[in-house]
Amino acid sequence: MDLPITTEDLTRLYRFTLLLTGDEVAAQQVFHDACLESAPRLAGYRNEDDRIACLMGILRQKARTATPSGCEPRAIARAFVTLPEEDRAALAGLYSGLLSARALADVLKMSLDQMGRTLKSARQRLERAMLELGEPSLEQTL
Amino acid sequence: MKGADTGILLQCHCPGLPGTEDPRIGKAVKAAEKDQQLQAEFARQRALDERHLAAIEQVMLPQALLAQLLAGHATRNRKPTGKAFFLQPVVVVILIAAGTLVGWGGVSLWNRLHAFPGKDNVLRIVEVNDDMTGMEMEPKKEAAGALNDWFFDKYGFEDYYLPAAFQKYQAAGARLFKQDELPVAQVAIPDHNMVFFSFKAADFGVTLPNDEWHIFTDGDWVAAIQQHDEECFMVTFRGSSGAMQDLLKAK
Repeated sequence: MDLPITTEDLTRLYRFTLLLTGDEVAAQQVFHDACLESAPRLAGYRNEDDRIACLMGILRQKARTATPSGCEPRAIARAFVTLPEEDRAALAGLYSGLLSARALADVLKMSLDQMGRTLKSARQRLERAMLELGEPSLEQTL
Repeated sequence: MKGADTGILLQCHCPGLPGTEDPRIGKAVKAAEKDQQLQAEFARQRALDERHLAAIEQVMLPQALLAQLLAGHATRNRKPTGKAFFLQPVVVVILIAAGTLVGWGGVSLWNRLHAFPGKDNVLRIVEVNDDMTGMEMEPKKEAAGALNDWFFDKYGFEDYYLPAAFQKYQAAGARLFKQDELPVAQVAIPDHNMVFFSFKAADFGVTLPNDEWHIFTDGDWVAAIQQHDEECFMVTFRGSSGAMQDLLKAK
Protein backbone atom coordinates (compact mmCIF):
# COMPACT_ATOMS: atom_id res chain seq x y z
CA MET A 1 0.00 0.00 0.00
CA ASP A 2 1.30 3.45 -0.89
CA LEU A 3 0.65 5.76 2.08
CA PRO A 4 1.85 9.29 1.31
CA ILE A 5 2.51 10.07 5.00
CA THR A 6 5.84 9.86 6.81
CA THR A 7 6.44 7.13 9.42
CA GLU A 8 6.82 9.84 12.07
CA ASP A 9 3.39 11.23 11.27
CA LEU A 10 1.92 7.72 11.12
CA THR A 11 3.24 7.21 14.66
CA ARG A 12 1.58 10.46 15.76
CA LEU A 13 -1.66 9.37 14.07
CA TYR A 14 -1.48 6.03 15.85
CA ARG A 15 -1.10 7.85 19.21
CA PHE A 16 -4.17 9.93 18.29
CA THR A 17 -6.08 6.69 17.56
CA LEU A 18 -5.00 5.07 20.81
CA LEU A 19 -6.16 8.07 22.83
CA LEU A 20 -9.52 7.98 21.04
CA THR A 21 -10.13 4.26 21.53
CA GLY A 22 -8.27 3.79 24.82
CA ASP A 23 -7.44 0.25 23.73
CA GLU A 24 -4.35 -0.93 21.84
CA VAL A 25 -6.04 -3.80 20.00
CA ALA A 26 -8.98 -1.64 18.93
CA ALA A 27 -6.59 1.20 18.00
CA GLN A 28 -4.59 -1.09 15.74
CA GLN A 29 -7.71 -2.36 13.98
CA VAL A 30 -9.13 1.15 13.53
CA PHE A 31 -5.77 2.45 12.31
CA HIS A 32 -5.31 -0.42 9.87
CA ASP A 33 -8.82 -0.13 8.42
CA ALA A 34 -8.65 3.67 8.15
CA CYS A 35 -5.30 3.57 6.34
CA LEU A 36 -6.53 0.88 3.99
CA GLU A 37 -9.72 2.77 3.21
CA SER A 38 -8.14 6.18 2.77
CA ALA A 39 -4.92 5.30 0.91
CA PRO A 40 -6.36 5.82 -2.60
CA ARG A 41 -7.92 9.17 -1.60
CA LEU A 42 -4.86 10.50 0.23
CA ALA A 43 -2.71 10.47 -2.90
CA GLY A 44 -5.08 12.95 -4.50
CA TYR A 45 -4.67 15.60 -1.80
CA ARG A 46 -2.51 18.57 -2.53
CA ASN A 47 -0.55 18.86 0.69
CA GLU A 48 0.50 16.93 3.76
CA ASP A 49 -1.82 18.78 6.14
CA ASP A 50 -4.87 17.93 4.04
CA ARG A 51 -3.87 14.26 3.92
CA ILE A 52 -3.44 14.20 7.69
CA ALA A 53 -6.73 16.07 8.25
CA CYS A 54 -8.54 13.55 6.02
CA LEU A 55 -7.05 10.57 7.85
CA MET A 56 -7.75 12.11 11.28
CA GLY A 57 -11.41 12.53 10.32
CA ILE A 58 -11.67 8.89 9.23
CA LEU A 59 -9.85 7.66 12.35
CA ARG A 60 -12.20 9.64 14.57
CA GLN A 61 -15.25 8.28 12.76
CA LYS A 62 -14.03 4.70 13.03
CA ALA A 63 -12.93 5.08 16.67
CA ARG A 64 -16.51 6.00 17.60
CA THR A 65 -17.69 2.50 16.67
CA ALA A 66 -14.62 0.58 17.84
CA THR A 67 -15.22 -2.19 20.36
CA PRO A 68 -12.73 -2.41 23.25
CA SER A 69 -10.83 -5.69 23.32
CA GLY A 70 -10.68 -5.78 27.12
CA CYS A 71 -6.88 -5.54 27.25
CA GLU A 72 -5.39 -3.46 30.07
CA PRO A 73 -4.62 -0.02 28.61
CA ARG A 74 -1.90 2.45 29.60
CA ALA A 75 -2.89 4.93 32.32
CA ILE A 76 -2.95 7.88 29.92
CA ALA A 77 -5.24 6.01 27.50
CA ARG A 78 -7.45 4.86 30.38
CA ALA A 79 -7.81 8.45 31.54
CA PHE A 80 -8.57 9.69 28.03
CA VAL A 81 -11.49 7.30 27.51
CA THR A 82 -13.28 8.86 30.48
CA LEU A 83 -13.54 12.17 28.58
CA PRO A 84 -16.56 13.05 26.42
CA GLU A 85 -15.80 12.21 22.78
CA GLU A 86 -15.49 15.83 21.68
CA ASP A 87 -13.05 16.68 24.51
CA ARG A 88 -11.08 13.50 23.79
CA ALA A 89 -10.79 14.23 20.07
CA ALA A 90 -9.69 17.83 20.67
CA LEU A 91 -7.03 17.05 23.27
CA ALA A 92 -5.81 13.92 21.46
CA GLY A 93 -5.58 16.01 18.29
CA LEU A 94 -3.62 18.74 20.06
CA TYR A 95 -1.27 16.29 21.77
CA SER A 96 -0.66 14.42 18.51
CA GLY A 97 1.13 17.58 17.30
CA LEU A 98 0.18 16.91 13.69
CA LEU A 99 -1.62 20.10 12.75
CA SER A 100 -1.58 23.75 13.71
CA ALA A 101 -4.33 24.76 16.12
CA ARG A 102 -6.27 26.46 13.32
CA ALA A 103 -6.11 23.36 11.08
CA LEU A 104 -7.08 21.13 14.00
CA ALA A 105 -10.10 23.33 14.73
CA ASP A 106 -11.14 22.89 11.08
CA VAL A 107 -10.87 19.09 11.39
CA LEU A 108 -12.98 19.22 14.57
CA LYS A 109 -15.42 21.58 12.82
CA MET A 110 -15.04 24.20 15.56
CA SER A 111 -13.90 27.79 15.76
CA LEU A 112 -10.59 28.43 17.49
CA ASP A 113 -12.45 29.85 20.52
CA GLN A 114 -14.75 26.82 20.71
CA MET A 115 -11.72 24.56 20.55
CA GLY A 116 -10.07 26.56 23.36
CA ARG A 117 -13.11 26.04 25.58
CA THR A 118 -13.27 22.33 24.70
CA LEU A 119 -9.56 21.91 25.46
CA LYS A 120 -9.98 23.66 28.80
CA SER A 121 -12.71 21.25 29.82
CA ALA A 122 -10.69 18.30 28.46
CA ARG A 123 -7.57 19.22 30.42
CA GLN A 124 -9.55 19.62 33.65
CA ARG A 125 -11.32 16.28 33.18
CA LEU A 126 -8.08 14.52 32.22
CA GLU A 127 -6.30 15.82 35.30
CA ARG A 128 -9.17 14.58 37.51
CA ALA A 129 -9.19 11.20 35.75
CA MET A 130 -5.43 10.79 36.23
CA LEU A 131 -5.82 11.53 39.94
CA GLU A 132 -8.62 8.97 40.21
CA LEU A 133 -6.33 6.42 38.58
CA GLY A 134 -3.84 7.02 41.37
CA GLU A 135 -1.37 9.22 39.49
CA PRO A 136 0.28 11.86 41.71
CA SER A 137 -1.07 15.40 41.37
CA LEU A 138 0.97 18.01 39.55
CA GLU A 139 1.67 19.79 42.84
CA GLN A 140 3.02 16.57 44.33
CA THR A 141 5.44 16.05 41.48
CA LEU A 142 6.73 19.65 41.39
CA MET B 1 -7.26 41.13 23.64
CA LYS B 2 -9.38 40.56 26.78
CA GLY B 3 -8.10 38.39 29.61
CA ALA B 4 -10.89 35.81 29.14
CA ASP B 5 -10.15 35.53 25.41
CA THR B 6 -6.46 35.18 26.13
CA GLY B 7 -7.13 32.42 28.66
CA ILE B 8 -9.25 30.49 26.13
CA LEU B 9 -6.75 30.89 23.30
CA LEU B 10 -3.90 29.79 25.57
CA GLN B 11 -5.69 26.46 25.81
CA CYS B 12 -4.90 25.95 22.10
CA HIS B 13 -1.19 26.19 22.82
CA CYS B 14 0.93 23.19 23.64
CA PRO B 15 4.70 23.25 24.26
CA GLY B 16 6.78 22.00 21.35
CA LEU B 17 3.73 21.62 19.10
CA PRO B 18 2.76 23.84 16.19
CA GLY B 19 -0.08 25.64 18.02
CA THR B 20 1.79 28.92 18.21
CA GLU B 21 1.80 29.14 14.40
CA ASP B 22 -1.55 30.90 14.67
CA PRO B 23 -1.06 34.64 15.22
CA ARG B 24 -3.97 34.89 17.71
CA ILE B 25 -2.45 32.16 19.87
CA GLY B 26 0.99 33.74 19.57
CA LYS B 27 -0.50 37.02 20.82
CA ALA B 28 -2.23 35.23 23.70
CA VAL B 29 1.06 33.61 24.74
CA LYS B 30 2.77 37.03 24.73
CA ALA B 31 -0.11 38.60 26.69
CA ALA B 32 0.08 35.81 29.28
CA GLU B 33 3.74 36.60 29.88
CA LYS B 34 2.71 40.09 31.04
CA ASP B 35 -0.20 39.04 33.29
CA GLN B 36 0.73 37.47 36.62
CA GLN B 37 -2.44 35.38 36.98
CA LEU B 38 -2.43 34.15 33.41
CA GLN B 39 1.28 33.46 33.69
CA ALA B 40 0.69 31.13 36.64
CA GLU B 41 -2.23 29.35 34.92
CA PHE B 42 -0.21 29.01 31.74
CA ALA B 43 2.81 27.61 33.58
CA ARG B 44 0.56 25.01 35.23
CA GLN B 45 -1.01 24.11 31.87
CA ARG B 46 2.44 23.68 30.34
CA ALA B 47 3.60 21.48 33.19
CA LEU B 48 0.52 19.28 32.85
CA ASP B 49 0.91 19.07 29.08
CA GLU B 50 4.56 18.12 29.40
CA ARG B 51 3.64 15.33 31.79
CA HIS B 52 0.90 14.01 29.51
CA LEU B 53 3.10 14.31 26.42
CA ALA B 54 5.89 12.36 28.12
CA ALA B 55 3.42 9.49 28.65
CA ILE B 56 1.97 9.76 25.13
CA GLU B 57 5.37 9.82 23.45
CA GLN B 58 6.11 6.39 24.86
CA VAL B 59 3.44 5.01 22.55
CA MET B 60 5.04 3.78 19.33
CA LEU B 61 3.45 2.52 16.17
CA PRO B 62 3.75 -1.30 16.35
CA GLN B 63 6.28 -2.37 13.72
CA ALA B 64 4.12 -5.34 12.73
CA LEU B 65 1.24 -2.99 11.99
CA LEU B 66 3.47 -0.67 9.97
CA ALA B 67 4.86 -3.61 8.01
CA GLN B 68 1.34 -4.89 7.40
CA LEU B 69 0.23 -1.49 6.11
CA LEU B 70 3.22 -1.06 3.83
CA ALA B 71 2.80 -4.58 2.49
CA GLY B 72 -0.90 -3.88 1.88
CA HIS B 73 -2.00 -7.00 3.71
CA ALA B 74 -5.68 -6.68 4.34
CA THR B 75 -7.34 -8.48 7.20
CA ARG B 76 -10.79 -8.29 5.73
CA ASN B 77 -11.41 -12.03 5.79
CA ARG B 78 -12.36 -12.08 9.46
CA LYS B 79 -15.92 -12.86 10.46
CA PRO B 80 -18.17 -9.80 10.52
CA THR B 81 -19.11 -9.83 14.19
CA GLY B 82 -19.34 -6.99 16.69
CA LYS B 83 -17.31 -4.00 15.56
CA ALA B 84 -16.50 -5.69 12.28
CA PHE B 85 -20.17 -5.62 11.44
CA PHE B 86 -19.99 -1.82 11.39
CA LEU B 87 -17.02 -2.03 9.04
CA GLN B 88 -18.93 -3.97 6.39
CA PRO B 89 -19.17 -1.98 3.12
CA VAL B 90 -22.98 -1.75 3.22
CA VAL B 91 -22.99 -0.53 6.82
CA VAL B 92 -20.12 1.88 6.11
CA VAL B 93 -22.12 3.27 3.18
CA ILE B 94 -25.15 3.77 5.44
CA LEU B 95 -22.99 5.45 8.12
CA ILE B 96 -21.34 7.68 5.52
CA ALA B 97 -24.76 8.58 4.10
CA ALA B 98 -26.03 9.47 7.60
CA GLY B 99 -22.90 11.54 8.24
CA THR B 100 -23.32 13.22 4.88
CA LEU B 101 -26.88 14.23 5.76
CA VAL B 102 -25.70 15.74 9.06
CA GLY B 103 -22.81 17.54 7.36
CA TRP B 104 -24.98 18.71 4.51
CA GLY B 105 -26.51 21.52 6.56
CA GLY B 106 -23.12 23.05 7.35
CA VAL B 107 -21.80 22.57 3.85
CA SER B 108 -24.87 24.10 2.25
CA LEU B 109 -24.63 27.12 4.56
CA TRP B 110 -20.93 27.54 3.68
CA ASN B 111 -21.71 27.22 -0.01
CA ARG B 112 -24.58 29.71 0.24
CA LEU B 113 -22.14 32.22 1.68
CA HIS B 114 -19.88 31.58 -1.32
CA ALA B 115 -22.65 31.63 -3.92
CA PHE B 116 -22.47 33.52 -7.20
CA PRO B 117 -24.60 33.59 -10.36
CA GLY B 118 -24.05 30.43 -12.42
CA LYS B 119 -22.49 28.48 -9.56
CA ASP B 120 -24.77 25.44 -10.09
CA ASN B 121 -23.53 25.17 -13.68
CA VAL B 122 -19.93 25.56 -12.58
CA LEU B 123 -20.34 22.84 -9.93
CA ARG B 124 -21.39 20.44 -12.68
CA ILE B 125 -18.19 21.31 -14.53
CA VAL B 126 -16.12 20.50 -11.40
CA GLU B 127 -17.97 17.19 -11.09
CA VAL B 128 -16.66 16.21 -14.53
CA ASN B 129 -13.35 15.55 -12.70
CA ASP B 130 -14.89 12.60 -10.86
CA ASP B 131 -15.80 10.83 -14.08
CA MET B 132 -12.41 11.26 -15.72
CA THR B 133 -9.96 8.44 -16.24
CA GLY B 134 -7.35 10.62 -17.97
CA MET B 135 -7.83 8.75 -21.24
CA GLU B 136 -10.26 11.41 -22.48
CA MET B 137 -7.43 13.94 -22.74
CA GLU B 138 -5.07 14.42 -25.63
CA PRO B 139 -1.47 14.32 -24.36
CA LYS B 140 0.00 17.85 -24.41
CA LYS B 141 3.47 18.35 -22.94
CA GLU B 142 3.76 22.11 -22.98
CA ALA B 143 3.04 25.14 -20.83
CA ALA B 144 -0.69 25.54 -20.16
CA GLY B 145 -0.47 29.16 -21.30
CA ALA B 146 0.74 28.05 -24.74
CA LEU B 147 -2.38 26.02 -25.55
CA ASN B 148 -4.32 29.01 -26.87
CA ASP B 149 -3.51 28.29 -30.51
CA TRP B 150 -4.11 24.57 -30.09
CA PHE B 151 -7.63 25.13 -28.75
CA PHE B 152 -8.38 27.54 -31.58
CA ASP B 153 -6.83 25.44 -34.39
CA LYS B 154 -8.35 22.16 -33.25
CA TYR B 155 -11.75 23.28 -31.95
CA GLY B 156 -12.21 26.88 -33.07
CA PHE B 157 -12.42 27.75 -29.36
CA GLU B 158 -11.55 31.40 -28.78
CA ASP B 159 -12.34 31.74 -25.07
CA TYR B 160 -9.32 29.97 -23.59
CA TYR B 161 -8.04 32.19 -20.81
CA LEU B 162 -5.46 31.64 -18.06
CA PRO B 163 -4.32 34.27 -15.54
CA ALA B 164 -0.62 35.07 -15.95
CA ALA B 165 0.33 33.23 -12.75
CA PHE B 166 -1.04 29.94 -14.10
CA GLN B 167 0.38 30.08 -17.61
CA LYS B 168 3.74 28.48 -16.81
CA TYR B 169 2.34 25.24 -15.38
CA GLN B 170 3.27 22.28 -17.58
CA ALA B 171 0.24 20.49 -18.99
CA ALA B 172 -0.01 16.72 -19.32
CA GLY B 173 -3.18 16.65 -21.40
CA ALA B 174 -5.98 18.84 -22.69
CA ARG B 175 -9.35 18.61 -24.37
CA LEU B 176 -12.48 20.55 -25.16
CA PHE B 177 -15.74 19.02 -23.98
CA LYS B 178 -19.35 20.12 -24.18
CA GLN B 179 -21.41 20.85 -21.09
CA ASP B 180 -25.05 21.39 -22.08
CA GLU B 181 -23.80 21.73 -25.69
CA LEU B 182 -21.48 24.58 -24.66
CA PRO B 183 -17.68 24.37 -24.93
CA VAL B 184 -15.36 24.04 -21.93
CA ALA B 185 -11.57 23.78 -22.19
CA GLN B 186 -9.98 21.42 -19.69
CA VAL B 187 -6.26 21.02 -19.00
CA ALA B 188 -4.63 18.44 -16.70
CA ILE B 189 -1.64 19.70 -14.72
CA PRO B 190 0.55 17.04 -13.04
CA ASP B 191 1.79 19.56 -10.46
CA HIS B 192 -0.34 18.73 -7.39
CA ASN B 193 -2.89 17.00 -9.66
CA MET B 194 -4.57 20.24 -10.66
CA VAL B 195 -7.19 20.55 -13.38
CA PHE B 196 -7.76 23.87 -15.13
CA PHE B 197 -11.00 24.86 -16.87
CA SER B 198 -11.71 27.80 -19.11
CA PHE B 199 -15.04 28.80 -20.64
CA LYS B 200 -17.13 31.73 -21.69
CA ALA B 201 -18.79 33.25 -18.60
CA ALA B 202 -22.10 34.05 -20.32
CA ASP B 203 -22.49 30.44 -21.56
CA PHE B 204 -22.96 29.28 -17.96
CA GLY B 205 -24.62 32.36 -16.52
CA VAL B 206 -21.53 33.29 -14.49
CA THR B 207 -21.20 36.90 -13.39
CA LEU B 208 -18.29 37.79 -11.14
CA PRO B 209 -16.33 40.98 -10.46
CA ASN B 210 -13.39 41.09 -12.85
CA ASP B 211 -10.26 39.19 -11.73
CA GLU B 212 -11.64 38.43 -8.25
CA TRP B 213 -11.21 34.89 -6.91
CA HIS B 214 -14.13 32.89 -5.54
CA ILE B 215 -13.31 29.66 -3.71
CA PHE B 216 -15.81 26.86 -3.17
CA THR B 217 -15.77 23.16 -2.46
CA ASP B 218 -17.56 20.20 -3.99
CA GLY B 219 -17.01 16.85 -2.27
CA ASP B 220 -13.26 16.19 -2.13
CA TRP B 221 -12.65 18.96 -4.65
CA VAL B 222 -11.85 22.58 -4.05
CA ALA B 223 -12.15 25.13 -6.84
CA ALA B 224 -11.20 28.76 -7.35
CA ILE B 225 -12.85 30.66 -10.16
CA GLN B 226 -12.32 34.12 -11.57
CA GLN B 227 -13.86 36.00 -14.48
CA HIS B 228 -11.70 38.11 -16.75
CA ASP B 229 -13.81 40.16 -19.16
CA GLU B 230 -15.94 37.56 -20.99
CA GLU B 231 -13.94 34.48 -20.00
CA CYS B 232 -13.76 32.42 -16.84
CA PHE B 233 -10.80 30.50 -15.50
CA MET B 234 -11.16 27.86 -12.81
CA VAL B 235 -8.47 25.82 -11.04
CA THR B 236 -9.47 22.65 -9.15
CA PHE B 237 -7.72 19.99 -7.10
CA ARG B 238 -8.54 17.60 -4.28
CA GLY B 239 -8.03 19.46 -1.02
CA SER B 240 -9.31 22.10 1.34
CA SER B 241 -10.23 25.73 0.82
CA GLY B 242 -7.20 26.54 3.03
CA ALA B 243 -4.89 24.78 0.56
CA MET B 244 -6.49 26.75 -2.28
CA GLN B 245 -5.99 30.01 -0.39
CA ASP B 246 -2.33 29.06 0.07
CA LEU B 247 -1.98 28.39 -3.66
CA LEU B 248 -3.57 31.72 -4.62
CA LYS B 249 -1.54 33.63 -2.03
CA ALA B 250 1.64 32.19 -3.52
CA LYS B 251 0.70 33.67 -6.90
